[in-house]
Amino acid sequence: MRVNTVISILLTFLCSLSAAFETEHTVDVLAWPLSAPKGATLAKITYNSTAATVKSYTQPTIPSSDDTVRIGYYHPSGSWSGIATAASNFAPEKSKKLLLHLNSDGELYHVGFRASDYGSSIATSNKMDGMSVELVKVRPGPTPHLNKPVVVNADGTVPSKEPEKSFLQKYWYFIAGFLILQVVMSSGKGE
Amino acid sequence: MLLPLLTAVTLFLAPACAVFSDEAWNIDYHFALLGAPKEETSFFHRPNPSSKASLIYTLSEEHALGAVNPRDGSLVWRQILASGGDSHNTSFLRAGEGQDVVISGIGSEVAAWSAADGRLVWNVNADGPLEDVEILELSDGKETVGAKDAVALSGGEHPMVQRIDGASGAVKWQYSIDGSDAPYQLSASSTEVYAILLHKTILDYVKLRVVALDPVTGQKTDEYMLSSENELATADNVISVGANSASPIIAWTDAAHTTLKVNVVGTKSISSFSIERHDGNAIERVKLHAPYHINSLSHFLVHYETATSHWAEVYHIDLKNSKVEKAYSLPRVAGRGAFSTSTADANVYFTRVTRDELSTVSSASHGILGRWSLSSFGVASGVGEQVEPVHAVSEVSVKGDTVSAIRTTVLLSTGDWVLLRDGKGIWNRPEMLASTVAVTFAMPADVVALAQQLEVEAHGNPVAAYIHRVQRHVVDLQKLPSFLVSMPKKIVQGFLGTSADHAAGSDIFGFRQIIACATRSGRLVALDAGHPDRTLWNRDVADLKPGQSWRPSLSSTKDGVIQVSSAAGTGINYNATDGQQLAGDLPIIPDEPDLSTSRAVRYTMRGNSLEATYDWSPSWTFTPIHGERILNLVPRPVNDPVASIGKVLRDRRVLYKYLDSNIALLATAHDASSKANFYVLNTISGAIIYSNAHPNIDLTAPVPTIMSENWFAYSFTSEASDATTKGHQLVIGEVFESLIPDNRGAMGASSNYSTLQTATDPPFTLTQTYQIPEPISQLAVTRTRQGITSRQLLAVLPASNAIVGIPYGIVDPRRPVNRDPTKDEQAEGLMRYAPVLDFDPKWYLNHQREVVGIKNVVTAPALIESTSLVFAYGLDVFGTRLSPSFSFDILGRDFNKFQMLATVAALAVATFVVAPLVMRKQVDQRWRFL
Repeated sequence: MRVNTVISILLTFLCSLSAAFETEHTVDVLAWPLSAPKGATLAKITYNSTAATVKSYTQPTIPSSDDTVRIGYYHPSGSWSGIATAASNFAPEKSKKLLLHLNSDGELYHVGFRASDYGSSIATSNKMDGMSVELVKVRPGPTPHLNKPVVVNADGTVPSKEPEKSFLQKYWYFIAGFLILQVVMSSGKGE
Repeated sequence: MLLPLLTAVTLFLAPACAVFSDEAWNIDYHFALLGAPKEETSFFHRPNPSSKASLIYTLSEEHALGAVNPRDGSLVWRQILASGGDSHNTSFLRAGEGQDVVISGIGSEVAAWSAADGRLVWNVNADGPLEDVEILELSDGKETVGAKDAVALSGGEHPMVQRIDGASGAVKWQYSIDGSDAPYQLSASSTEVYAILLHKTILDYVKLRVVALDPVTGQKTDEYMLSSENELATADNVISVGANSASPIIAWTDAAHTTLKVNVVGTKSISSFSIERHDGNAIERVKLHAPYHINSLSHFLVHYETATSHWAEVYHIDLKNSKVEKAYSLPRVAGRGAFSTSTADANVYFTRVTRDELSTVSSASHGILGRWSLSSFGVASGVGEQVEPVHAVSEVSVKGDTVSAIRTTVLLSTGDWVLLRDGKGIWNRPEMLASTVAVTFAMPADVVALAQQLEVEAHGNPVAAYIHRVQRHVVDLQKLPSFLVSMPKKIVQGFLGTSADHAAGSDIFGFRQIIACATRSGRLVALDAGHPDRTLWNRDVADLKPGQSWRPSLSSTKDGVIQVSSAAGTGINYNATDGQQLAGDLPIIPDEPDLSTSRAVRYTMRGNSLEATYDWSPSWTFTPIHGERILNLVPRPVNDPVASIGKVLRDRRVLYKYLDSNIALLATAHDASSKANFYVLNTISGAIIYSNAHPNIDLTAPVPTIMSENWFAYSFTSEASDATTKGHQLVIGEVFESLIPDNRGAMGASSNYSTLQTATDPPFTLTQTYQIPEPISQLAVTRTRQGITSRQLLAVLPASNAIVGIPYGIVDPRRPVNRDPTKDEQAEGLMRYAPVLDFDPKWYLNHQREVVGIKNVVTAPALIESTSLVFAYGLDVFGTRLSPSFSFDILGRDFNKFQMLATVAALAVATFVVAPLVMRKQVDQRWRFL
């Protein structure tokens, strides 16, 4: 019994250890103002399937004529994926958050960006110069909520229901109470 | 005295007959189509050899095999044959004389079908693609009693000839063809089976190699090469290889169509005829028409066609010395023509259909046995367009020297398939609609015209407006006589409740919209949704060469106007009512910046990624990861009115819908891991609003998606796994601003926002999955004018050839799971969740009809809020009207105005009768009281 517990604890520990040492990926997220010929690195981010940290952050230089900035990254195949956001979101007083969309294998497939005026409640551990990062994992698709399966016995038969209690078994206390009442009342009369 | 009584009785009879009639066959329509019939696979045939009645059999270009009743054009049966691949687009259909089966060949499959009911008798798969299928009329040199055998020639790596038993489908013998020559065709004479192969010479010319086989054993008896010299450049110049006749022939011409060469198969002699030119135009096509019966006279007809006219020559074959002689010629007639061959005993008759005449001659002499003038084919066409016959099939019965009866089916250049009986049109089948590729609804222009005139009056100065109005009324007065004439009828119909939608002209409900269908052959066909059996107009809009395809998109940007855009990018406008092309100076070039839309974000699917541009420079991009491909993308419809921005709960609180007109549902597939991902994207910023992944999906099955209002739906077929069961699933997702009632989430009360600037937390998505009994190939949603009416999800079920309309409330993701609904939820119409969604028989829009091959469903709002028009196309065409929340703003058909008026009248009479009585009683009472 105790050996089992020890083994299971050890296994859990090992699992969490392996999760902690899971391969870290690094991605360069680029900011690319609409008129700029090339994107400049906005942030270097390391991430695994559970956590991400901002390694470095560079405030992008955005020409005043541009009101839109593309934020994205290059796939290993060389193709670009990115979103568009307003240039005003890069104002220093705003708290910015990069979203890394991961698929079910933990691969990065898209990025997102959010900026808010007020100090946000995001944990500061993965924050650098007002830039934080959040992982958004793809949700498993909904599945039908199936009804509970019928549990059968070892021989394949449906277990019979517990036999219902008889009338007497259910309501004996009423009858008993009534009888006691009768006895008490009759004894009272007798005096 | 009797007359009014009789009238009254008849007036009551009509509604009495209509008591049990349902709306089912009134408001919906269905054309069970086959597709354009092919000339070589269409014929008259008697399904029951002992009876005289014959049916028309055809294997169409859409690979639908069917039998049509020549009496009324109704479909007797049909089978949709899967082709083995599009590259090899040949198909064959043969029927043996006096046989009760028809034998089809398509792809690599030879199949026999019962001629009377279309049931499969047997089928055989050849090793390679079929090149020809023939029926052996004579087995062992004499006519057989039972089923006649078929011979099939297949190509591919191991070309071979097979003889297939007509009764069982067993292969009796097979002969492998050696050498690298391409198999071309089969011919059977009474004593031999000939396989004709194409032999390529060093100089790239084609020579014909003939292999003669013994029909009993399948042994080669002879083989020779026809000396076609260097005339045959390609196989296209071989115009015919006669099949089953006493003397099968091969005929070919040179590339310039100057000489015709004919060889009687089995001999080596070639007869050569020079082709006369009848007009200045070059001959474009040479066709050969020969009888298909083994005991008919060996005569044949050669049909020459130029761009402007056609003529024909009839040749006789002398069986003794296999000499071919020209017998007579049929004169040149302007326009295109069609010839058909029919036989009666040994006699052969040729029937000629031209633009304005139908005539029959005997093959023996040029005397005309029957002639009928055709005023028109009775089909709709474009303005000024000449309807021409393309090909024809005839059944002739001759008494003495005249034709006593003739039935001819003609495929016309408009795509209609018509039957002429003794020169009179009996029916037509709109087979061009079977190849519909794009559809749009348009309001008729006359409805629009009034609206425009009112607009003029509203914006002009009062005096001018008044004059305009008086003028309009004067013009309207001209319609008064016809209105007065139709008045009594209208009133009677109104009383009886039969006028609902048959009142011609007026369309106050918007049910009679024009449906414009673009067909694959480059035509635009307009139907009236109120009277679908009548084609409004049918015109050629794209000048396509044979084999060329186009991918048009249709839209009706303005009422009364249909815009056709194709890959070329320009939009051409047509008047919806009569099909006239509107002034061509309105080309809309989508890539040209115009003021109103230059700041718009546009996105397209390029390769395997979505790319958006903003201000003409690239904006967001969505590229799926390596190995993932985009299945489909559905944006929220442009015109998608929503009446309420929230869902009002029972306790008067509101769940706010996430209503963004710029969202789209993207489905991608990862083939290696058989996974499908679904993303809801914001199409302005490219951000992902919602995403999920489904493992274990059968990616060969269809994955239809739909997006409307604030919800999306998709369906797929999942493989069994630990988490899910094997089966078909329908997923519904509904997006809310917040799941807390009366809370608008991060957006709060802000009245204005930009997707690019504002920081918004993602909206909340509720999803629910239902197990459905069969796969869905296409999803659509009903649309109404203001979006007040609840919606129905329209699903095409290919397995049962049906379309179902699933009410949204049934699949609402808010249905409570694993518990009974509370009182509040019950009042909102939410039921307890059940994992299996069975399609209620009442949801089937097609009722008991089979709607085959539907590829797409389009919907349009009617003018009244309750109703949505639905039109489904593919092979069949089906249309109906739907009222998802029932017809709350229109009186139903069963509403009897006469009864209502009678009740009112009776009450009025009763009031008048009873009033004095009551008065007297009241007066009496008052006296008594005092």
